[in-house]
Amino acid sequence: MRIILVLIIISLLLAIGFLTAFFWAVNDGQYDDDFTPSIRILFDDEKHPQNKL
Amino acid sequence: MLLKEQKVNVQCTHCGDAIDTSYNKKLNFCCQGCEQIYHLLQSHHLATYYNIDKYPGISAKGKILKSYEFLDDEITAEKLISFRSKEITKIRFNLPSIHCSSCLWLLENLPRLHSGIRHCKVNILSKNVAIDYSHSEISLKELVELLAKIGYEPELNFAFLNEIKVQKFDRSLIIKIGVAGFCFGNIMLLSFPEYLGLHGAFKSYFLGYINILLSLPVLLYAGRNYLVDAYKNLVNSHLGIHFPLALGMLALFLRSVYEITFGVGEGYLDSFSGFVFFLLLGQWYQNRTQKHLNFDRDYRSYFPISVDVLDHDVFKSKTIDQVRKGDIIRVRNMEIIPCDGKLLSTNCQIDYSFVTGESEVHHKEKGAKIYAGGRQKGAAIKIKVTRSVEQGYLTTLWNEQVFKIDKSSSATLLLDKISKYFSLVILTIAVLTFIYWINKDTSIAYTSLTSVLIVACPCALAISVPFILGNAMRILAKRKFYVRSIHTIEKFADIDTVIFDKTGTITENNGLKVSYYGQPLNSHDMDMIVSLTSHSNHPFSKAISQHYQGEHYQISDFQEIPGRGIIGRYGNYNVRLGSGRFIFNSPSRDSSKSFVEINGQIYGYFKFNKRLRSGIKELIGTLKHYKLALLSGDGSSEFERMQGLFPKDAELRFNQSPKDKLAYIKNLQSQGHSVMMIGDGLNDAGALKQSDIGVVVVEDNNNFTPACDVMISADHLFQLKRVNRYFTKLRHSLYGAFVIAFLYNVIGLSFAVSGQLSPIVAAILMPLSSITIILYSILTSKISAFVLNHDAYQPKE
Repeated sequence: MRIILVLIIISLLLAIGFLTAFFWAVNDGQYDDDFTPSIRILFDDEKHPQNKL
Repeated sequence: MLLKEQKVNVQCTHCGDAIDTSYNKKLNFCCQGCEQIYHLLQSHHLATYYNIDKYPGISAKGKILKSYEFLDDEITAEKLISFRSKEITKIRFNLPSIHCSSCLWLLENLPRLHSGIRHCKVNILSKNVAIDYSHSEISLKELVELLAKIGYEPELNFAFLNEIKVQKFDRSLIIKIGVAGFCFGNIMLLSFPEYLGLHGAFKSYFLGYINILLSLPVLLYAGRNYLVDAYKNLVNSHLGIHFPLALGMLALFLRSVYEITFGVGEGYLDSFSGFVFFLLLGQWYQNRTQKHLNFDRDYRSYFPISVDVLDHDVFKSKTIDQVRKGDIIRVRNMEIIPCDGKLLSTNCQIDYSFVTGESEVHHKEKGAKIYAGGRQKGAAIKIKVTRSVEQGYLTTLWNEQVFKIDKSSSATLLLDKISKYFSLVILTIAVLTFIYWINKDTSIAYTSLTSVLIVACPCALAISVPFILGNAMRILAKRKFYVRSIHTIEKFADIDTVIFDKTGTITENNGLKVSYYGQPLNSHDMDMIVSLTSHSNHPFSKAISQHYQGEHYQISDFQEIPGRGIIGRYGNYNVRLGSGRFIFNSPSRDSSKSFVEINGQIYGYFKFNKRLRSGIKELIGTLKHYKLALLSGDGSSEFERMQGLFPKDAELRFNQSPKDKLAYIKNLQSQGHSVMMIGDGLNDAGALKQSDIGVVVVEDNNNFTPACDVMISADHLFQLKRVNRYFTKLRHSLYGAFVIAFLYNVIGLSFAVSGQLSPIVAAILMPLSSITIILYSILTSKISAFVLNHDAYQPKE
């Protein structure tokens, strides 16, 4: 039954991985603006986007 | 005689304004500016702009492109940009005209408009945009000019030179919530065997020790602020809400550690971390709403960033902090005068309405003293600077003591008031219990000490306040009533005096009410007058042209004498219109009148009054049980009208300087009154800051607003009374939350006393109490909001 201890440690490591991902997301600025992205996602991609000049 | 302007239903494709028939083409634009922007965007395949929101454009009518020469100056540019590498410069602008999703789309597609622009990211709520551009392809000046050209003029003012460039969003709270949530969840998971009564499993797998490890970051990082604040409270011997919170936290943690290490029990680390998690959540909720509004602006945000300074016979654009005494500056049409000085040009017209609240345009002759803050109207003028910006007549107001105190920190919360006594009571009980047991049984002494501290911890209380008031702030913001912080809401209940400013607050800023007194004018006379006034840009002339409409005659020999009046000729008629001084050649009479003279015969006069804001009369009527007063920068010409508006005992003061206003409020406060000041302009800035609650009336969000506690949209001012009733209701719901919190504490205490505070009970009780409180808070603040929709029953007078 000691295997449970190993499983617990693995699960914790996994969870810490997600926590790190969360830290990265916050530091990347993803939580700075929680309103604009909700609008940005509604824009359609244009069919023939103009090439950059 | 009163012919209203015919409504035209055609709207400008760009900005949606009604189209003047004189400028009408196939694609329907109101002016050339709008049409140019349209074609510019069209040619870069950016016409999608017009398909996202209806009429997204910012009207280009009457807009003059400013000179941004000063941006070529390296030192100035350095202060604005946030980062520069070899190829890329990063900069962040405030664009007050951002308002819709089309704006977002266009600004983020700027790279299509100019290849030098690499990346744009817009934040709609804060109305700013972060731009990365290649400075070898486009200069800062060109970038700003491009933005201004398409209607998004960046906000570049004096404040930028003094402040930290970008207000960084504080991310630590979110990280703390993440950490606390992570630990909370994992500790609960590991405590599961315990909840199921598998005590053996808990001990044999060291789950307790893992829990201690997991709770350390909660105590030392996530909950750190509470401990630090509690320590500060102790040092300052002012016990705030954080003190009993920290005590509870520490007691929970230490007791759990003790129980786990000595194998006595399993501890309450799940409750501990959950409790920190909910506390942080409340803090986040409370801060969320108003972070995009700036409540702290001073004159610097109103003053321009640069001015043209004469340097070796050439005017060069310089930032205004470089302007020295003796410099000669040039101020163009519609620019703000940045420093006090002496007029070198022959004459000028200056609009001080924002500084003094006085509505009329001032006419100045050569050699006259010019004060900073006025808006220059007409051809460019030259001024010799006599005082630098910081020493100006207006700006010295900000040297007053009141501007050096941070108001938000000195606020005493209702919660703090309660917790002061609360903490003392808890401490006494805890210490008494401890002393009682210490000689009989040491272990019971420690257990009971921690039990009291844990159970009496005002956790639910601390959560209820941010959730009730934070939600209220959000509800009010939807009604264009923006509150700076929850402290402000709490202060509302103490207000007993309401002071109004006149111009811009009681009356509207724009639009004059015109009435004619004297010998009746026939329609022919009227047409002549209107034809004459249509040539002039003076506010009075404009008001007449707008108010009366008729046939337009060809006027010959038109002449405008600035600050006096206008003359013109139609056929055999000689028409003169102007001030008393102009018509009668006698010293100035009433400045709010304009006399009519046709062929030497004086017919009568037009009187101009600022229009009262709609609903202001009703509002003042509902504020009867407050002490009311009026402080106006204007002369007393409107004394009678104001007297009719206010109750008889209200004090009406005119000719008040900004410092007089401040002093008046200070005096009231020293008499023990709690004052709310309602104002709008720079001239009220001192009074707004001094008052307990400074309310600023905002006509549109782009305008400058002085530092204040509440911003209210002008057309929602009438709600003030309702808002106040809402706050009273909120106070009641707060008491309700306290009762619930108290009940939970009693239940918890009874469990603890009977020795039944088992981990599972604690694990259920703690989150349950937090969630009940949160639900209760949000629901009550929503339900009480119904008072915002209706006026209370008004007893008949």
